[in-house]
Amino acid sequence: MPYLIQSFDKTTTTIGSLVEPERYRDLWNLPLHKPIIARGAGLSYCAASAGNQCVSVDMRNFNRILSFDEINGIITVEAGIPAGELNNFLIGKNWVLPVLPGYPAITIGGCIGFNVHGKSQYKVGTFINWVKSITLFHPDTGLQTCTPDTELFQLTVGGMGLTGIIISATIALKKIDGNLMSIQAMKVPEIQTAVEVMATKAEEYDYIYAWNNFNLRGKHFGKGIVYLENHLPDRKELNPKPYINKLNRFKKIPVLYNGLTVKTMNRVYELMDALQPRQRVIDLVQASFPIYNKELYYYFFGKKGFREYQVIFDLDKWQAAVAEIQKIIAQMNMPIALGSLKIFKGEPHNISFSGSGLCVTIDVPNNKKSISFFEALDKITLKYGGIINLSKDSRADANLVKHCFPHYEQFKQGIHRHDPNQYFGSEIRTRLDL
Amino acid sequence: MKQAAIIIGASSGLGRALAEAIARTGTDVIMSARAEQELQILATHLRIRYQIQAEVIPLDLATLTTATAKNYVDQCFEKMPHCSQVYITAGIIDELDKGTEAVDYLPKLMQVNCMGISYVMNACCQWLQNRSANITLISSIAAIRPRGSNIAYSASKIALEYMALGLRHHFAQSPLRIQVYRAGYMETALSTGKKLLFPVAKPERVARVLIKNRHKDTGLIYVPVFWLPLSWVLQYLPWFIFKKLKF
Repeated sequence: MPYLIQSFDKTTTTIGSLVEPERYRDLWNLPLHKPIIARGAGLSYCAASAGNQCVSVDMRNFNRILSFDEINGIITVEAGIPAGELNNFLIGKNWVLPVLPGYPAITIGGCIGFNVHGKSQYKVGTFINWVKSITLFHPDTGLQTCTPDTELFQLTVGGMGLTGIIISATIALKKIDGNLMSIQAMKVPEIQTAVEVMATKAEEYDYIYAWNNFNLRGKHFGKGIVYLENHLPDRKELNPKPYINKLNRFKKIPVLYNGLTVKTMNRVYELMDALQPRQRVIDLVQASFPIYNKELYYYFFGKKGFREYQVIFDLDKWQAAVAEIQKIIAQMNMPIALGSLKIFKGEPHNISFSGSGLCVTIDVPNNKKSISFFEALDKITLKYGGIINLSKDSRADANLVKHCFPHYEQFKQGIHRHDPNQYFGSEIRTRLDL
Repeated sequence: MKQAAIIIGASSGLGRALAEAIARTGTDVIMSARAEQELQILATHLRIRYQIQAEVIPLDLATLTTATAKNYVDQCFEKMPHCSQVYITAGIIDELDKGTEAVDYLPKLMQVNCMGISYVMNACCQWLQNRSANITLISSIAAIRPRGSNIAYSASKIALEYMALGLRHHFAQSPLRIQVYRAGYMETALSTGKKLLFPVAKPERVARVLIKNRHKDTGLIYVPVFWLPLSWVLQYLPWFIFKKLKF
C-alpha cells in the first residue's frame, strides 16, 4: 500500500511503502523488488529514511539492550533504541552517551547513519569516535559485524543507511560522577565576541554552544547567549519519565513565522533567558535535550515547514564567510528563526558533518525566498571551503556535495562496492547521485 | 513482596510491550512463545534494564496437549513459585481465512487460538485458584460479530472467550480473577503502512491499561474503550445493512 513519508522539515514528501520487522527472522523476508532503507524516528530534516518507490524499514522494534559492561562503560544496543531513553538509563548507572543528538527520540541507528554531533563536539567529536562495532544486515551477506579498522565500518558511520540496515552497535560511554550540570549563560553583544568566548573556553567546558540573533543589523549581528556547561559531581534523586516524541503533532498549524514574528520571537527568547539566573544548576536529564518541551518552535513553521542550513567554516575563514552571510541576510531581508553557533574539532569523514572550525546554524521558514537565500549561502560555503550538514538539508544536490566533500567519489565507490545490487535506496541517495 | 508474571506470546506486539511494562514495575517475568532467540534477547534486555529475573520457556501452542500444557505451567511455577499474574496474548491469523474453499489452516488456527490457550489457562487456574492472582486473556474485536473475513479466527476467539468467562464463573468464589480484553487495532507489524477504518492503539498504552486493571474483577472489557460503543453498533446493526458492509 502506498505510504506517504514527509521529511522532518516538511519540504519533501515521498510515496513509498513501510514495513516494520518485529523479529530477526523478518529481516530475511524484507521485500527486495524495490530499494529498501532503514528508518528510525524519522527526524532527519531530509528524507533520508524514505524515497519514492522505496520501502522504508521501521527499525524501532529493535530497541533492546544486548549487553552492558558497567565497569568499563561499554554497551551494546539494538539500533532502534532512542538515544534519550538509553541515556536516561545510563545516567542512573553513572554513565552517559558522550555524543547526544538534538532530540531524545532519535535512534542510535540514526546517530550512526548521520555520524551526528552534539553540544559537546569540541571535546568528544562526533558519534564515530565512540562506536566500537556495528552489526549490519545486508540481503547478500546476512548479519555481519564490522569494527573501526574496516572499510565497511567507515562507510556505515555517516553512510545514511546505504551499506545495510544497522541492527546493533557497541558504544563506549563517558563516565560521570553526578547527575547535575552547571550552566553559565553568558551574554555576548555580537558574533565576534561569541566566537572568541567559545574558542577560548572550549577546553574548559563539557558542552559549549551559542544562541545568536541573526536578525539584528550592523554591529549587533549575532548578539546572543553563549552557554557554558559542565558536569557536576553532585547528585539528586531523579526519576526520569519516558520521553514522548512530540515532534509530529499539530500538523495543520498555519505558518506563524514572518519578518515580524520571527524578530519578536527572538526577542522573547532573549528576555526569557534574561529572567533566569546567569549561573544555574539543572539535572542531566533536562540538560541533555534543550529542545524537548519546546517543540512549539517547530510547529510554528506550519505545514510548509522550514529549512535549516548548517555549515562548518575554518576558524581562519569564518569572519569573512559570516560577514557575507550577514550581508545576504540584510540584502534579502531574510527573517532568521534561529541562529546558533558551535565550535568543532576533528577530522573530516566521508560526507558526514565533521571537521574543525565554527559551526553556523540558520533556520528559516520554507518559502520561495528561502531557496534563493540558501543558494546564496551555497556560494559562500563553496567560496570559503565550508562543509554542509546533509542531515539538515533537503535540497543540496550532487554538484554542491561533490564540491563540498573531497571524499564524495571515494564514498560513492565504497557504497557501490558493498551494495553492488543497490538494494538500498532513498530520496537522499537519488538526489545526491550516490 | 516480589511478584512475577507469565506472558504467553511475548516475542512481539502487545506481549512484548507487556513484558517491558511489567518489568518496569519491578516484577519478574517468564516469557513464552515459539521464537526462543527473540525471547532470550528480550530477557537479557529486561535483566539489564530493570534488574529483574527474566526467564524464557519456549512454547508452541500448535503442538500443545493437556499433558504438555500442564508440564509447561508446572515448569513456570517451579521457576517462579511467587507468580501471580498470567497474560495470554498469543494468537495467529491466516490470509486464507475468508471463506475460501481450502480450509487446511483450520485445525492449526483452532489449536493455537483456542485449544492450546485453553489448556494453558486451565492448568494455570489449578495453580492460582487460591491466590490473589489474575489471568488476563487478550481476545479481539473480531469476536464482536461474525463477518466474511477472518471467519475461523473470530470463531476461535469467541470460543476462547466463552472458555475464559466460564472459568471466571467457576472460580467466582476464589480470589483468582480471570479477565478478557477485546483489543482493537494495534500498532504492530501487521498494521504498519495500512489504512485502517479506526485508530490504532499503541501496544505500550494497552499494556499499561492491562497492568493497571489487573486487580479488578472485570469480565469482558474493550481496549481502547471507544470500541465499546462501536461494538453495540456492530452487534445491533440490522442484517440488511450489516450484510452490505465490506470489512
